[in-house]
Amino acid sequence: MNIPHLTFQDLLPVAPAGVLVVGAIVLLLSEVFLSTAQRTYQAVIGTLTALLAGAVAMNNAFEPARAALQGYVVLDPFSQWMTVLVCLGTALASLLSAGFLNHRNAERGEFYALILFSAAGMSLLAMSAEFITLFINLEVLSISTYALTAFLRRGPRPAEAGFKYFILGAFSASLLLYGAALLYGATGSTRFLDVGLALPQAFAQQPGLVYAGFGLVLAGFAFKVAAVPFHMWTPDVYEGAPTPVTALMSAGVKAAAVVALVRTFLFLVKGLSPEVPFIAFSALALLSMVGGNLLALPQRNVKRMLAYSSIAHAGYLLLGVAALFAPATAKGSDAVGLFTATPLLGSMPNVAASVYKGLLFYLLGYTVTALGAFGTIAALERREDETRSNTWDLERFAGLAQRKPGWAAAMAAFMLSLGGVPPTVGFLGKLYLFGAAVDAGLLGLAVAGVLASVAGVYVYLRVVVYMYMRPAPADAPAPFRHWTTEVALIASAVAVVALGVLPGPVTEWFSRAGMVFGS
Amino acid sequence: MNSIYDSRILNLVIFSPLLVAGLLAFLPRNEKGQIRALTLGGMVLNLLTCLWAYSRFSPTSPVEFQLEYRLAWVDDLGLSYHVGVDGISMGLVLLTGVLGPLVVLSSWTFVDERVKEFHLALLVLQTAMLGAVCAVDTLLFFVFFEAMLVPMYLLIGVWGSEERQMAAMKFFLYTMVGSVLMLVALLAVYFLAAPAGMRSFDYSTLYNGLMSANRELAQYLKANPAGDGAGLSAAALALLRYGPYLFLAFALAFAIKVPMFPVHTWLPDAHVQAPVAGSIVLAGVMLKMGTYGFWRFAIPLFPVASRQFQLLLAALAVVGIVYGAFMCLAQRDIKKLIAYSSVSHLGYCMLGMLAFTAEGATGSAYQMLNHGVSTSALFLLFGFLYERRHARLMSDYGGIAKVMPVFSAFFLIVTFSSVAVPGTNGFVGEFLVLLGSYKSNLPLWLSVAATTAVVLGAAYMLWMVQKVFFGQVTHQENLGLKDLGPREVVAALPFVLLIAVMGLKPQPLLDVIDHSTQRFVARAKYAAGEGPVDDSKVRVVVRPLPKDAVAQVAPTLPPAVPAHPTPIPLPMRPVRLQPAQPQLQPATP
Amino acid sequence: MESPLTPYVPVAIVLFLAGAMAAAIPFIAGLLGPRSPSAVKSEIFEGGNPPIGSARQRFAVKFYVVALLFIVFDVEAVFLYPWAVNFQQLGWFGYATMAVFAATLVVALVYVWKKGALSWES
Repeated sequence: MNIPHLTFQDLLPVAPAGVLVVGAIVLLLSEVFLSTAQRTYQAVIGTLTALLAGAVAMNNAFEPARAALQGYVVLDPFSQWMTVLVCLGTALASLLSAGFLNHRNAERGEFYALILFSAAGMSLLAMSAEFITLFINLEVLSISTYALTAFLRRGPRPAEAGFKYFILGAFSASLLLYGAALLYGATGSTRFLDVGLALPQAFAQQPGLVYAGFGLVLAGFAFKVAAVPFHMWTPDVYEGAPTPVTALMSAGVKAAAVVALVRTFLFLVKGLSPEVPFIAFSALALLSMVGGNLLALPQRNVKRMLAYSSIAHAGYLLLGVAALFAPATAKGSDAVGLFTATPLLGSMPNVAASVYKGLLFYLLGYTVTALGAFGTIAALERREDETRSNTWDLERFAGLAQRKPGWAAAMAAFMLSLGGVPPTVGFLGKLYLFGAAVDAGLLGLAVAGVLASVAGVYVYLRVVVYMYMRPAPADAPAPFRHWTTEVALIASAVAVVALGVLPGPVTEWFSRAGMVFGS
Repeated sequence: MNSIYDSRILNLVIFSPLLVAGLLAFLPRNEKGQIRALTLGGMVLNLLTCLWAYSRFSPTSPVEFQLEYRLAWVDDLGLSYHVGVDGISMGLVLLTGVLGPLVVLSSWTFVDERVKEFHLALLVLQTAMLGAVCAVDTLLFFVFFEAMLVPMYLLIGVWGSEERQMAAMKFFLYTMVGSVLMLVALLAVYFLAAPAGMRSFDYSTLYNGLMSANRELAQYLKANPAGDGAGLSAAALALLRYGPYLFLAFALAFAIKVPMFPVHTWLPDAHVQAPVAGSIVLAGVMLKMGTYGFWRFAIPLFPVASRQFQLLLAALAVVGIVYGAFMCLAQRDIKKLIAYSSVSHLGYCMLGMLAFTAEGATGSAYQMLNHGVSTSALFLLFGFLYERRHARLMSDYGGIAKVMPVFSAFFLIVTFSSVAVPGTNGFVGEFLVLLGSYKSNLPLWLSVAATTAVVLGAAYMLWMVQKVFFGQVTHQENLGLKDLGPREVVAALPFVLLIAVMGLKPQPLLDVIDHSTQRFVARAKYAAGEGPVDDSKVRVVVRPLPKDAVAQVAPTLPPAVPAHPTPIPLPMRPVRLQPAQPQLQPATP
Repeated sequence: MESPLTPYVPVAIVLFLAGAMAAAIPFIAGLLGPRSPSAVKSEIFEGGNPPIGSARQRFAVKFYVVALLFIVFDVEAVFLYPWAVNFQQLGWFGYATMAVFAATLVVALVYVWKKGALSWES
C-alpha cells in the first residue's frame, strides 16, 4: 500500500481554508463558553479570521503555480486571488452582520462560524482539481449557505427561501455529481489531469457519454453561478436570506463557482470539438446578461432588483469565460454574429491572461460593490416590516440624500459601480472584461453585453433618482447605527471609488494570475 | 522659455477650486459671510491661474496641446491623466475662469439657505468644467463631463424655483442618456483605434489610430459611393459599417448638451427653474461642452460619417435657429425667452462648425465665447431684477428704465450684444458663421434661412426690452425698485467690458483660436478626400508618458502561465483506480 | 462462461431472498399467528404516531438531535474500524489523519454538550 508523502508545500494551498475553519471552531466554542450579552466581538473574530486567511492566500498568490496534494487541489495565483476576494467579502459580510443581527437580537456565534465554513468551502472549491473534492467542497459551501439563508427562521420568507435553496441546490449538486460520474465512467478517473488525458480517446469512442457529462456538469455549475435559464431560485432566495448573507452569496459563491467552472471546463474541452463549449458559454452569457438586466427593469423591490442584477453580473463573468473558450482561428466569413468569433483588427492575441485579469478584477469590483449595496439595504430594513411586502421598496430610499447624505452618497457610488459608470471600480472591471472579450473576437456578444448594461444603468439610476429626487416620506425611519456597519460601508465605498480611480498595484498583480490547467 | 511651472499650470487651473472647496468644508455652516468671501477669493485665484495659463499660451506655436501634463494612470488600459490646452480650450478656460467670480457675486444675497453647500457645488462644478475642457485623455474628459452633472443637478434641484425638482430631473435624465450613449461609442472607438496591447484612451491614440482608416474609407467611397467595403482594411471596414452609428451616438450625446433642435426641451425648464448662478453657468459654460464635444471628438474622429450627416445636422441647426427665434417671440416669461434665445444662438455655433470652412469654424468658436458672455450677462442682470421682484413675466414689468436707469443701461448693452449689433462681440461671431456657411457646400437656402433669423433675433429681444424697460410704469410695486448697488455693478461691469473688447478688438482672441480652427477644418476635410492635406498637419502629437513611470502606454501582457508548470507526481495514490472502460475484470473472491 | 456479471450472482441471490422473505412473512404471520384483535392493534402502524390527524403536528426537536448525533458517531465508528484494521500499514500518516478527524468530532461533541443537546430534560 502506498502511503502518500505529504509535505508542508502540499498544505500551502489549503492553508487559508484551514485558518477559516479554525476561526469557525473558535467561534463555535466561544458561543458556548463565552455567551455574554454583547457579542460584537464575534463579528470582530470573524472579520479578523477572514482577513488573516486573505493574507495567507495573498502570500500564496505569488507562489509559482503547481499541483498539490497529489493533484487533488492546485496552488495557482488565480484560485488564491479568488480566495483573497472571498475572504474580503467574508470579512465585510461579518462586519455587516454584527449590526444586522444585533438589531434583531439574533447575534450568535454559529452565524459567523457558518459564514467562515462557507468561505472555507468557497476557497477550497476554487482550487479543487478533482471531481470528488470539488463536490465535497461544493457541499461544504452550499450546506453552510442553506443554513445561513434560513438563519432568521421566524417568518415565512426566510423559511421559504431556505427550503427553496436547499431543494434546488441539492438538485443542482446532484446534477453535477451525475455528470461527474458519467465522465468518470468515460475516462476512469476523477482527477482533472487524468480525465483530460483520457478524454480525447473516450470522446472518440463514446461521444454521447461525454456530452451528457459535459451538459450535466455545466448545468450544475450554472445553478450555482445563477446563470439564465438556471436562475429561477435566485430572486426568491436572495430576497429571503438575511441581507448580509445575500451579499456573501452574490459575491463569494459566484466567485468560487466561476473559478471551479473555468478549471473544470478547461480540461473537458480537450475532448470536445472546440465550438461546443464556446457556444454553450456564449449562450449562457447572452441569456444572463440580457435576461438579468431586463428582469431587473420592472422591480420596485431593491433587494430583488439586486438579485436580478447579480444574475446579469454572472452573465458578464460568463462572457469572460466564453472568451477563454473562443476558437483560436476565425472561420471563413467576417460577419459579426452572437456566437462567432471575429477578429477586430486582424489579429487574435492569446487572451487567457487578460481574461483571468478581467475576471479577477471584475469580481473584486463586484465583491466590494455588492457587499456595500446589500449592506446599505440591510441598514435600511426594519425588523417590524419583514412580513410586509414593502421592506425593500424603492420608497425606502426616497429622500435618503436629505436624511443621510453620507449613506446616500455611498449607495449612489455602489449603484454607479454596478452600472459600470466611470470613475468607479465597476467601470474598470467591465472594461477589462469586455476588452478581453473583444480581443477574443466576441464582438457580437460584447456589443449585446454593453447594450444590456445600458438597460441596467437605468435600473441603478432609478435608485439614485429616488434617493436624491424624491421627498422623504414623513414616517421614514432612520437607518440604524452600529459602528461595524458603518466601518464596513465606509470601507466598501472607499474601495469602490479608490479602486476605480487608482487601482494601483492590483491590476499588476492580477495580470500575472495564471492558472493550472490554463490554456 | 519653458519654465518648469508650465507643465503644472493646468493642474492649478483645474484643481484650485477643488482645493478651496476642501478649505470651505471646514468652515462653520452659519458663517455665511466667510463662506462667500472664501469662495469669491478662490474663484479670483482660479481666474488668476487661468490668466497665468493664458500668458504662457503661445497662439503662434505649432504645438497643438500646450502646457501639457501627463501622468501614468492605469497603464494596462492605456489610461493617463493627460491635460493640455489648444486654442479653443484656452478660450473656454478663460471664459470659465472669468465667469467664476461673477457667479459668486451674482448670488451674494440671492442664495441665503444652505449657503455652504451652494458654494461647494459651485466650486466643484468649476473644477469639473475646467477639467473637461483641458482633458486630452478621452476617459478623463468623460469623467469630468459626468462630474458636471451632479453639482448642476443640485444647483437646479435645491436652489431653484417652484418646479425645480421636475426641471432638475429632466436635465439629469436627458444628459445621462446622452452620456451613456457616448460612453458606449467611446469604448467602441477605443477598441477600433488600436490593436490589443497598444490601446489607449488618449486623444492622440484615438485620432491617429482612426486617421488612416478614415482616409482609406473616404477615398474608397469617392471611387464607389455605394460600395459594400470589399477590399478595405479591417479598421476602414469597421468604420464603414459602424462609423455612422458611433458618430450618431457621439452626436446625440453632444446635441443634447448643446442643445440642438429636437432634444432641446430640457433647456427652457432647466433655465427657468435654475437659480441665477445655475443659469449663468449652464448658459455660459455647460452648453459649450456640447459644441466643444462636436469640435473635439464627434467630427474629427468620424470625418466621413460627419460628412454624411452634415446636411441633416446643419438643417437641424437652422431649424433650431429659426424655431428658437419664433419661440422667443411667443414667450411671456423672460427667463424662458433668454433660454430659447440660447437655442437659437447655439444653432449658429453648430451651423458654423458644420460648414467645415475656416470662416465658419472661426465664427463658431467665437460664437461659443460670445454666447457665454452675453447670455450669461442676460441671466445675471435678469437675476438682479428677479431678486427684487420675484416675477418672471414681461407683463409684471414695464417702464423699468425710469426706476432703474443704471440697470437698464447695462441690460440694453447686453441686449445689443445678443442681437449682434455691429461693434459688439455678437456681430463678429454671427457674421463669420454666416460668411462661412455661404462659402461652404451647404445649400444656399439654409444660409438664407439662418440669415433671416438674425432679424427675428433683433425683433424678439428689442420687443422684450421695449415691454420691460420702456413705456409707463404699470405696476405700483415696480416704483419702489432700487437701482443696482456697488456689488451688482462690479458683477455686471466685466461683462460689458468683455462685450466691448471682444466686439471692437476681436483679433487677439481670434489669434488664440486660429490654429485650433485650422486644425479642425483640416481634420474635417482630411479624411473626406478633399484636396491633399499633409498627414503631419492633422496628426495629433502629444508628449509621451514620463519615462520614469512606465516605458510604454500599454505594456504587452505577460504570457499566461504554461499549462503544466511542474510535472504532477502521478503514481503515489493509496488506491489505484482502474480505467472503467475497456474491460471489467471479474472480482476474485 | 466468464461473463462480466458473474461476480454479481451472489448479490442477485441475496436480493431474491430478501424479496421472497418480505413477500412471504405477512402470509406466514397470517397463517400461524394467534388472533385477539383490539382497536389499538387494528390501527395501521406508522412509527408510533396516530395515523390520522394533522400532518403539521410537531415533534420535539430533541428527537432529531439525538438521531443526528447517532448518525455522526455511527459514521465515526465506520471510519475508525477500517483504520484500526490497517493501523500498521498506515502508520503515522493515518494516525495524524484520524487524530484530526477525531479532534473535530470532540470539538463538535463539546459544542453539542454545552449547547444542552445531550440533556433530555430541560
